[in-house]
Amino acid sequence: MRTAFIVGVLLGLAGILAAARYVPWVSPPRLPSHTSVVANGGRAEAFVIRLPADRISAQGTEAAGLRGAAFPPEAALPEALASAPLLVEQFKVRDRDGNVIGVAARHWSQPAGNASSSWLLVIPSRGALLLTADGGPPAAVDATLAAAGRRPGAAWSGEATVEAAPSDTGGRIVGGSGEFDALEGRYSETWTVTGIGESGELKGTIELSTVTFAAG
Amino acid sequence: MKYIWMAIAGCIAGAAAGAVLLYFNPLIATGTPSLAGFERTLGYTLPDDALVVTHSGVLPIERKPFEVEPLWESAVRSTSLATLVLRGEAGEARALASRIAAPSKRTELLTTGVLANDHWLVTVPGEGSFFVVAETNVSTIAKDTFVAVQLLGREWQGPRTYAPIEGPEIAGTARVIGAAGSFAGRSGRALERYEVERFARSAGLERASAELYLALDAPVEGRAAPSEEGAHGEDSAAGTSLSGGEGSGDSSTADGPSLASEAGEP
Repeated sequence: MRTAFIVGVLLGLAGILAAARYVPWVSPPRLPSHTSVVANGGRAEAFVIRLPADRISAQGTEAAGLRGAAFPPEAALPEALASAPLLVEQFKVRDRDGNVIGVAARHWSQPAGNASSSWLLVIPSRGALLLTADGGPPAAVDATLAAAGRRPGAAWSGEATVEAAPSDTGGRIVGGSGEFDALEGRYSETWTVTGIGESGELKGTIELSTVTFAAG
Repeated sequence: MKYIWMAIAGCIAGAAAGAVLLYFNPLIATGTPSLAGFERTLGYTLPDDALVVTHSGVLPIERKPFEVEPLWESAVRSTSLATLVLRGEAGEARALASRIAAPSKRTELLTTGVLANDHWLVTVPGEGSFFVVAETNVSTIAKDTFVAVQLLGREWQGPRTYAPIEGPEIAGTARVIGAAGSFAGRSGRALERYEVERFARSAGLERASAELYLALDAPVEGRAAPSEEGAHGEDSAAGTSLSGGEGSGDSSTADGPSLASEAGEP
């Protein structure tokens, strides 16, 4: 009897320790990656954000234009940060098929007069991509919409495209983690606006097209 | 039959002993890292400095504001996202950070602990942006808060201080990657320390404060993108002003070495 108990204790102890060591406690669902190999080397992948559905929050100053209005309205910038040109936006990110696969943050600012935008794109099952580009002029979307006939404060529908990080001059992939660790590359960022709602919310898509290759 | 029942009882006792061992497992405890070479630069308090906090609803911190979209989709359900106002040592708002954290696939409870991948994108208006990539070990925090207070119903024994970052850089520090402005092309290390002041069984995290310590290397010519060289022209000044601001008299400048001068140290 005593032997049976001791064997049981050892089995129980070993089972718990083995479970602690070998059970995959964290296993975020992973959807297939829609990547393709590009001709001159590297791996291409596009990420899509649908507006307004994927917009989580936004905080900006007046220089950021339409997109700078606090969203949700209670999440406004503190007064001390409200004077410098700044726009912080956060979105859910989808793959080419429209499945939500991650979360992203986009920061735009204008240090020393040089506008720049940066993206932090986190896909929990894969890792993170760190992107940066010379940003467009302040309120670039507003200017494009105005050129397309939208009157300030009014609803609008149509189609307007803004190359926030054009594919030729492009943005740079400056790092990553997980599967994206030790990768570098380039990306383009394209906003396709198809409408502005009564309350000023953008409708359309943002597409981030990336080409990554091993850092060398 | 008696032998089987004894073996089962032994299994339960062994499993309970294993659970106790895991609870007190010294292998997964976080240490106290050295702050030498770092300058205390940016801090925040929760919930006051969180403009936005969102997650799927499982974390012991309330979403803020209430209307913010929850992260309910299966692929992001374990992820949390926050927009934080970071402050200088005098308490003035200096920067805005987006922070995205998700549990790490490297998590295991015997030797590494509960790990999370923690990513920051920080923008200091007028200076630029940088990324922080960290792997944090939240075992000790989870044990003191979720397990002790929420599962076992004990009173919070606080305040307690934690330094959960364990990598991926040397000496258990986070990696800093410059993105734009005076930070472009630069790299460095970071550490974060929390002090959890109040934690309740029902409300979860009620009050905490944290500091992000940074050490950035000096800018290296040619590492930044050509288009950012203009910004680098002012780098020697701008790079030092994360703590000092535009001659704002921020006490952090006087209290310790600036980020750039620190980079000159071994």
